[in-house]
Amino acid sequence: MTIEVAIVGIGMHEFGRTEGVSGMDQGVIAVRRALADAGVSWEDMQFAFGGSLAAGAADTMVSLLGLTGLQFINVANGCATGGSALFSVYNTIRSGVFDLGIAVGFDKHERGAFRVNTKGAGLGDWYGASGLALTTQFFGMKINRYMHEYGITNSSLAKVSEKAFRNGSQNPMAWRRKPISEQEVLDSLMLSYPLTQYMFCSPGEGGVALILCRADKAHLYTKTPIYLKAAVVRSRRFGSFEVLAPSIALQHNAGPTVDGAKAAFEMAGMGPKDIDIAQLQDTESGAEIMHMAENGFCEHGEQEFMIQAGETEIGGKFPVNTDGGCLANGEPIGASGLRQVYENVLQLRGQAGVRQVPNNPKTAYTHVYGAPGIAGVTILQR
Amino acid sequence: MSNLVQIIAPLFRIDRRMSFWATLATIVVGVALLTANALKWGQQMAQVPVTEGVFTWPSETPQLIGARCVACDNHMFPGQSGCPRCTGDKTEEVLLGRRGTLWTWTIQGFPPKAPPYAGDVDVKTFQAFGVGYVELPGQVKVEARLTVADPEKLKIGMEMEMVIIPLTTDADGNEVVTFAFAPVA
Ligand SMILES: [Zn+2]
Repeated sequence: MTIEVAIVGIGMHEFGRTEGVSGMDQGVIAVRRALADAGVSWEDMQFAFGGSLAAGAADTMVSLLGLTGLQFINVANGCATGGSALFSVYNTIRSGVFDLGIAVGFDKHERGAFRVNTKGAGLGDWYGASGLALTTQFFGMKINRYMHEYGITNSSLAKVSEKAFRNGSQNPMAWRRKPISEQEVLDSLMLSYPLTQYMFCSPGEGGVALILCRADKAHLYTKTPIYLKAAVVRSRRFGSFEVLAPSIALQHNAGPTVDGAKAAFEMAGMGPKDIDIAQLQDTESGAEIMHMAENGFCEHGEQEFMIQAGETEIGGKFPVNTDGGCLANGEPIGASGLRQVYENVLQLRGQAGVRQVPNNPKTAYTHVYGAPGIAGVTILQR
Repeated sequence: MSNLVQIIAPLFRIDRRMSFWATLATIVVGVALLTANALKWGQQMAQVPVTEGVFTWPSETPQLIGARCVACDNHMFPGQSGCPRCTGDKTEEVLLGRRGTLWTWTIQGFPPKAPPYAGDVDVKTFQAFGVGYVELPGQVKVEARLTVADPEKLKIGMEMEMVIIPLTTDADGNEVVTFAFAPVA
């Protein structure tokens, strides 16, 4: 018999900039909030997976939370760090080794675009020295080609940002809570053509923790267990177009998001049509648009109509990034993927407050994407 | 630069017995010589590549240095020892074509962080630059700076050719150069 897995506790430290609170402390606060949500104590945790990119080794947080001797494994997997921690907790419970554990991700980044460590990424110094090692360039180039091929307009790019900041304004955990109009988005500084300043998310700070257990024990901790039906992490295949690539093969491959989505739907025994809401990686507004199709929620090019018709708004046919996404929350790498799951749990529990998606959504989807070509997908069901 | 200092320095070792006018004359001549030398130096400033092994230099017709998989003919840039296409472990150096078509592009509108960037990061003088992928027929798509930074003048599919552009000046006064692609006139 397959062991099913449920999320029974969620905790988050506010995203954005919190002066005087370290990234690690934000992770600890998220853990304490998750423990309180599940009505358990740190001593009850049998194991943990955690990670951050820039805020220290997650396992050192035991000195703040309590030295209980639990198995704590650090996860470092770039933009999929949080997703990989969750994936590891999920599979540990499914394997039957432990019943109750926690995934935690947190981070605190310096201001401005990410400074790429070219050596760590296996790239020569010349690459960054020549002015090429910027993730923002990749996003500009990918959406520029996509707009050329599928007729996506600048207006739709701006509408994605407008929606993100509007949703963010209804989310007390979000960093950017001031609505910004489509025109203001278009008129902001052009950072990497065709993407303007307000179309990009910024590296930020925050922490998220999720407590998971065997589904048959979920009633011990919550009245509203949310079942994790799939958790998948995929790396790139030959021919895909990825961030920080000095060259790309002539042969085309759709990339890790397409592979990850396919595997997750198979695992959950569902298809894209069965999903009620989705949190999709929106490093910039173009990414949200491209990821709608890459994850299988529409055909390439169909997004233009969907966005102009408001279908991805909270009250629309297929709400996307209901908490404001990376655009309104910023991107603390270690926590970002878990933030998406946190939002989906709130939405499926019916606890999302003013930004609650109507008609009791039953299924929810998350997707993270990042360097050097990695994608993580989860599917949740109430 | 150190040679220059050695030439000029003795001119400023002013003798105590010298008159005020002689001192002044020495300084004027010194400054004049320094200026002349600096100008001459500028003309002769050596060009050095941002790195060895990425493009052929010096060369009238510079080419990117890539690798080719011996087993499946997959082309890679920069060169590497293993093949991501067939997992083969034998590759050989290959010089890539100098012409191709623009596959996609963007414009770098703000100064990149330094390090790693070696070029101008002063917000007052920074010049936006184009970045794109150029598809080299039968080989690979390479990422490069573009000599054009005007959205009106960049079109997907346009013909491009490899050139060498100045990037910065190093501590020894050499002009550091890197590769870029320019629209074919
Ligand atoms: Zn090969």
